[in-house]
Amino acid sequence: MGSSVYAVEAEGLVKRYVVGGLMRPKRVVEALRGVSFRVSKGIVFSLLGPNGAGKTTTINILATLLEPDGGEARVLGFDVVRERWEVRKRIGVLLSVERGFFWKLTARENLIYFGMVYGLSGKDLRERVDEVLDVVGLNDLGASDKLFEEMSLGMKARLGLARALLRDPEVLLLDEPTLGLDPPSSVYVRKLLRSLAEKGKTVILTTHNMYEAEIVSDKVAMIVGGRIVIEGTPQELKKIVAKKVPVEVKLRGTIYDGGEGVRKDLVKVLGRPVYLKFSRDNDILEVRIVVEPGEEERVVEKVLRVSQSRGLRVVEAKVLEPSLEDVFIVVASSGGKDGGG
Amino acid sequence: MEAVRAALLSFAAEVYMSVRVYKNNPSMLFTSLTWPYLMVFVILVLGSSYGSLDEFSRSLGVTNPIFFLFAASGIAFTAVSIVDYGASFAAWYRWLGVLPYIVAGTPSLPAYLAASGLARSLLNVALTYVSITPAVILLGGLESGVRMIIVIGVLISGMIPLVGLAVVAAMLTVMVKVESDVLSFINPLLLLLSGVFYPIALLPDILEVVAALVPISYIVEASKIAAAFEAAWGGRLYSIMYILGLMAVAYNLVGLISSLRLERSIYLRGSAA
Ligand SMILES: Nc1ncnc2c1ncn2[C@@H]1O[C@H](COP(=O)(O)OP(=O)(O)O)[C@@H](O)[C@H]1O
Ligand SMILES: [Mg+2]
Repeated sequence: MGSSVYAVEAEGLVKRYVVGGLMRPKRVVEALRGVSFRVSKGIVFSLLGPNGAGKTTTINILATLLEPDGGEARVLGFDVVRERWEVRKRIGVLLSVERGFFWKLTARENLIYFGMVYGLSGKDLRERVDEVLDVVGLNDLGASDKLFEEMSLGMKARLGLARALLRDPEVLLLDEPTLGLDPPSSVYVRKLLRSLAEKGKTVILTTHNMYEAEIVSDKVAMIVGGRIVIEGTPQELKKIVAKKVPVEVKLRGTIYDGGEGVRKDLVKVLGRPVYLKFSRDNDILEVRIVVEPGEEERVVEKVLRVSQSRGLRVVEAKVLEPSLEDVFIVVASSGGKDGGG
Repeated sequence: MEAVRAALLSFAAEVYMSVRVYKNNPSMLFTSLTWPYLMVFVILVLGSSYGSLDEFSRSLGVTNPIFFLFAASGIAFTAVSIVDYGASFAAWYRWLGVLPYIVAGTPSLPAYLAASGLARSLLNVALTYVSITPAVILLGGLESGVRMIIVIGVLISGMIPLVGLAVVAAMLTVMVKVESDVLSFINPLLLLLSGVFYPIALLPDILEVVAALVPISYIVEASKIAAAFEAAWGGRLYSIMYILGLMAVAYNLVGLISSLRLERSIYLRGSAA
């Protein structure tokens, strides 16, 4: 075992969580319902999907932290269940950008601790730690000797990446590496991931940010409700909506159910999937619909009527350039259940 | 061998972390060094409301009560702290989010647990020793200081079976997976069974049996012997060491099985993440 043209192969991964028990009723959550994908070496691959889609579960299985209930997965040809240790030696993992370190140690001390746990020692260890601190730019920021508890989220994310790089792994598994970061930090992390892929590493990341997936990835797989609904390069995926017109209407008014009622009405009237984003801060409900060219006016009119009947005011209506978000709207409705965003 | 190297490096990592945490937070070091004094003070104040120091020494069978209190309470708390470390390890490391990186990073989880547990124990012993030796010498003279060395030797040997128990405790907390300290009752219970604050002979029969299975009571017994200036102490100390040795083998075997079980459970249920 252990030689493969692919960095990662997942075949029909199934995972069920049993929740409840101990006084509460038992319930089975089907987190993965047969997830398959392949990742070639040396690329950035994004697993894109809404909250609860199964991204973290997939990463945990690939990282040998969770045993699947069905299916198989291999990293660099090694089975994640039967050849766990072979996999572990070859991967770098980031599971959260805000946690995962000792608060009372500095960035460098944390890396030295984990380096030793990973089997590095002596001069090798110290040099390697300094190297990865350089790679992620913490030395440049002068943050290498800052206590973890005093670091900004952006610095913590870089430190998490530094630890993932400690053993110079071939494959990086990163769960939402830019979650909650300010824009400059996100930009930095994305650039770093691109440059790592250019140096031959395979970067597998998860994100719910469509824009991020589009600009950072060589390949994207959309996961919804525990299933991969579509896979391809961002360009390939965007072809699906190339000839379509995304329409966005912003509504304002009193909304109690996060817009679910409006969505049901719209789906009934329009007979097509509708994507909503509700912001509680300013009570604005964004309605996004993908339509055929020439249909825009008719659709907007219908949206107007529905919103009037629900006592909502139209703040803005516009036509947009197609993006991955629209691919998601189109394919998510035909695949699993809509997660919202 | 991979596991031996992993154990040595995990030991070093744990020592490195503890030293650095104290260096970054000197106030924590101060607290660690002064709490035995606080303990003895509280015990003396509480105890004096029940009876004189003489009565206390008679009921526990010691002739040098202050020396005994310092040595025994320091020892009992140090001993309990390692089991406590085991019991809170999984919940605490999961809360910090470091657990998955350790589980997926160490070449051998049993080696990591045993070595880091041992490192913690020895550091705790060292801190206790540094803390109470000045008081012991002040109160009992240089000879008491020498006796402390014997007691510390017993303590270190007693820590080895306790590391096994700590690993069992770690497994139990991960298996139960209820974050609120399920095992928080374990500390008061172990302290009660230690024989420092309450004579074991006066405990209910079942607890007496349990106490006989817990290494801590033997460590405390050893410090009693050292404090009592008895003629036959050499022989009794020897039999205590013998029992502790047997316990070390037994508990660490159970600990090893537990850590393999722990690894399995973490993996099946993803309880590291
Ligand atoms: N430890 C767990 N116990 C029970 N249910 C879980 C657990 N982890 C995840 N789930 C459920 O499994 C589904 C997938 O979760 P997850 O993989 O975390 O999705 P994502 O990372 O895409 O948000 C969700 O419905 C989630 O509620
Ligand atoms: Mg997630």
